[in-house]
Amino acid sequence: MRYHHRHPLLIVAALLWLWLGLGVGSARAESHFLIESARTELDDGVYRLHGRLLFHLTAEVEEALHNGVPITLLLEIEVDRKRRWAWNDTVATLRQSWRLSYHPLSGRYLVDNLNTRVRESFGALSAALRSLEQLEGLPVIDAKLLAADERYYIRVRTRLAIEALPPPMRLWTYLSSNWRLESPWYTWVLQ
Amino acid sequence: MIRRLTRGVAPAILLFLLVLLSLYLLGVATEKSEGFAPSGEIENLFLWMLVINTLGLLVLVTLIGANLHSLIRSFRRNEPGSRLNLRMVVVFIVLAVLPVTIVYGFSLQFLHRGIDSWFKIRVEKALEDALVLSQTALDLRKREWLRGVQEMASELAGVDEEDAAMALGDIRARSGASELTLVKKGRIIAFSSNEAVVVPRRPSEEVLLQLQQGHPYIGLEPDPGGGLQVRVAVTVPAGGTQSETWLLQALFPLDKRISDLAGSVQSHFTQYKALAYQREPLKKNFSLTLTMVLLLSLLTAVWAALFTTRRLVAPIRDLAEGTRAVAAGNYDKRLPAVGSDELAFLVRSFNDMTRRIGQASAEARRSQQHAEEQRAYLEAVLANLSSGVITIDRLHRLRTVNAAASHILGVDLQQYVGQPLGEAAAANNRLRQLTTAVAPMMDREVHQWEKEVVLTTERGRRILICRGTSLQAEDGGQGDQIMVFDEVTALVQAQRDAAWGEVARRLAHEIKNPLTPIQLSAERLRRKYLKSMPPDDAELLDRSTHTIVQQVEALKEMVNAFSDYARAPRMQLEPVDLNALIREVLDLYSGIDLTLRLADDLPQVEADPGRLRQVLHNLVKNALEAMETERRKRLEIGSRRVKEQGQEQIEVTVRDYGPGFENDQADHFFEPYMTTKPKGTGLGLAVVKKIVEEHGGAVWVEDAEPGARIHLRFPAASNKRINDHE
Repeated sequence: MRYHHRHPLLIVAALLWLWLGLGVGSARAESHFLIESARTELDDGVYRLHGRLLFHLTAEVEEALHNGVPITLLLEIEVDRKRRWAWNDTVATLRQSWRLSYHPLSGRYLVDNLNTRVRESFGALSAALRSLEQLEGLPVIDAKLLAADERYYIRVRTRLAIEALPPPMRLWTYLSSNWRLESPWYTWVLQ
Repeated sequence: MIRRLTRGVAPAILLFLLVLLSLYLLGVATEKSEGFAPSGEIENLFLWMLVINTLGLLVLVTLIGANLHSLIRSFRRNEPGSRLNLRMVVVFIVLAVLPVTIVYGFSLQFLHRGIDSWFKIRVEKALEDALVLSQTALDLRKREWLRGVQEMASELAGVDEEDAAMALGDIRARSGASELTLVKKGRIIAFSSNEAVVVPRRPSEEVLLQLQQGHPYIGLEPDPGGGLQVRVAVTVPAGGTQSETWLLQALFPLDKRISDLAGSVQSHFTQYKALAYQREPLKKNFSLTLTMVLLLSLLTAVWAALFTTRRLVAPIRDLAEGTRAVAAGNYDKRLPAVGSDELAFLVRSFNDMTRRIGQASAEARRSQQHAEEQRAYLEAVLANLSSGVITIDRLHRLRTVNAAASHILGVDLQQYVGQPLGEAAAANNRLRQLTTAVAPMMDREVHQWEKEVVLTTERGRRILICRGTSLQAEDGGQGDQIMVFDEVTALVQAQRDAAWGEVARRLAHEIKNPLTPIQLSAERLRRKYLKSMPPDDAELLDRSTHTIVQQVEALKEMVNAFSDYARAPRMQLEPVDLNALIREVLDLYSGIDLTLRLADDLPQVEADPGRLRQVLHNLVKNALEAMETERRKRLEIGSRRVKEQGQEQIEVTVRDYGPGFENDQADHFFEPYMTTKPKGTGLGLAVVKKIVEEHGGAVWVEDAEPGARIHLRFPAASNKRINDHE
């Protein structure tokens, strides 16, 4: 399990983005990334995630993809313990990432699961994205790690990893709404 | 402390080094950001450096803003040095901004052109062509493989499902495919691979889709091993026992050499495309870095300009302030002299100068104070001098007078100071007499002179002894004149009185002694020869002796009177009501046309009533004797209180309507044997004067036309008491 720390630059970039007064949330309104449904099931002592995600890339992202820039998509999962008088305590953070790239020689789209190192290729971009949209039985956390008398929340979201883009592009993609693709958090009680 | 931190040279150098370091790191970060693979910690250095440099910019902007604000404020307040400061700042800024801006413009242009030139169209085209070439070369192989797979499919057309696996193995061994899969209704019925352990996989959706449409599928795809493989899928022609449609899928690995070459072309093409795609953000990044560098350098330069100017101008400003302070008379101002350059030398010289000026001015102040003290001392001496002192400048203006001068002349001379002596004299009778008398001396320009001046005043003649000295002026000519004068009237009078007293005593002594033998002899002659003489002779003798006796008697009387005058009996002083005394004395006289004007509020006099009575008798007698020839004997007697020089006094006037006196007689009016009358001893008024003066009073006579008026003045008893208390 890999723990993810929120990048401080994101905050700075968000401030810069606000400061530059770029169009607010037009991408958000269209919801290019969305979690349609998600649930957990306890299976053999392990909570497993099932769900359906939606990925739609903007024209700018597709253009970059066709120009040989690999795109990394993330699924972020957080298990939080609710506390009465303090911030929620994040018990576990899990990150599932896929790298999407274009293979010009064969004209195919490659999807590399960065967690499992499994590569798949697809003749169409939509097929490649669709291959990511169905989540089935993704192990999240061992039930033994959770206290029985506590109440836990689980929340998930998907986003495009700007920090994984080539460095020259990062600053400008942080500032562009066409690149800041992320779904709202999808939260439910873990049981 | 903060001031020191922001003012010193060390922080400035530190700031400059920080800016340099930050710019260097920004440069490094920009260079690194050209790379594509995220490389550890350096990956976000560019962003971090941007953030840090932006903060640095903000700090600089704040610093400069504060500096400019104070500069403009001091300029508005017109503080010393602010104009020079502003001008130097403007010059420095212009000198820094212009070249840097020009360099910036050119650099930006070169940068954009340079980046664009990396991505030549020819290179892109060549790479694309190489890719197409690879694809074309592979297409040939793909077609061969397709034909081969179609042949395999026809071979499998009559094979039973049970034998399919066996047949498939044979076919695969012949064909060179790495993997063969036979699928029936989505289910794998036979599988053959050149690798021992491999999980057979169903054909993917898109393969199935294409086959359903009746077309064979052939596609190049990257294999899991990193190379390339070709996937071919066809439908097995129907025949024999097969009731269902069979699908045959074959995977052919590309030759390693071809695979490597094609992979290389593909990866380079991808890299190139990606680079070309990132050209714009890269340009933006470089421009941003350059702009950052420009702004940081510029702002640092501007701040340095402000900083340097302030340090340069500070001593000048101090000097200006110091000059202002000195001009305003503050000689204690010392400026801080730092360093050893010309400005510091100037500041030290300034300090030296102000110190000396300060010393000189303190010296001058001391001298002035000394002179002032001397003058005050002289003034005090003058004021307390009983002699009158007057100085007159060369233009005959009154320059200095002392209190005694005013007192003697009976006029406040202080009001005429600065005015021409002539004007002052015109306003005052006594001064006029004085100046008229001494003018010839002054005009003669003698160095020293002395003169007795007689002033005629309403209170009789005043005798002044005047001594004059003319001072030497600085240019050698005649300067101011000093005139010192004393009133000697009383002195002269006293001398005269003393002389008369002596005369009286002598007379009494020398004359009285032979008188008795004369008288006795005459009486004996008469007694012895009167009876024995013939009647005619007897009558002559009788008359003669009688005359002798009578005249001797008269002489005796006169000598007694003189004796009385000379003698000074002890006075019996007591408070006396003068009005009552006047009435008492006048009761004794009859046949006079008397007018009394007595004031009601008359204070008492400390006096010997017997002697005062004598004074009044003498005066009345004198008046009556003066009017002996008049038919109507008019007499006016008055009393009133007067104030002279703060002293309360009582004045008694006695006026007769006799013939009066000649003007030049007024001086000798009260001397013995000064009489204008046919009768009288001539001692009456002399006695009056003597008694009045014994009481501390004064007496004088004035011509009343007709007749004369005699004034007596006595100090009031209250005055005397106050004086005694003092």
